[in-house]
Amino acid sequence: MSNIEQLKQEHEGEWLAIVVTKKEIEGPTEGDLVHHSTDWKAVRKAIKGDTREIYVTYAGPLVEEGHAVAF
Amino acid sequence: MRLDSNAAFVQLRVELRSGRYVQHMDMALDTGASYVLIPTDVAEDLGFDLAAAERHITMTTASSVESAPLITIGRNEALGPSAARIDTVCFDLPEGSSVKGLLGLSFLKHFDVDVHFRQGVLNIRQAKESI
Repeated sequence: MSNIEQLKQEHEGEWLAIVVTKKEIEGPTEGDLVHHSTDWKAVRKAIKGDTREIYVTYAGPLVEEGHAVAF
Repeated sequence: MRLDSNAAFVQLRVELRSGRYVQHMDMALDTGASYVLIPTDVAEDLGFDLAAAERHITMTTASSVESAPLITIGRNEALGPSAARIDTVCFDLPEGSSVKGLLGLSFLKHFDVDVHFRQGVLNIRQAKESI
């Protein structure tokens, strides 16, 4: 079991699939890393059919330097 | 929740529940979005068959107008409060984007949402009728 912020620091720039073991009001805080990749679709494919409580998150900046977003 | 007033957008960790399936994902808080939006892969992992979706909605984005499946998710939770039966659009935002989901009005309308940018605080407060 690992702290999710720690996992993000260890896998910067990757998508992480984490089986959630602890949650707080702001969401999952601890879990077990079950897959990681720079490719979001690869992570989704790896956890397909897995019925455990999984948190998929990006371990990087919300937006790359020099970019902006509009939805 | 502490809010980074200089961030490119406000991101929240959201829990999605449908039957026995539970997924957690990051979403951008988006009061300009009519519905919660999730990727098609996430909808399928929540047990939905999108090919058989009975409802579709015409969605106007910043760059296009498209039809997308509209499903109802059992329960969503963000920052503690939760609401049931949330209409949700299934749509894939552009590849390469770290934003995969939007927390739109179909969820937010159940709550009082306080965003204090200067103080750096965001609160989502449960309305009694949503409990």
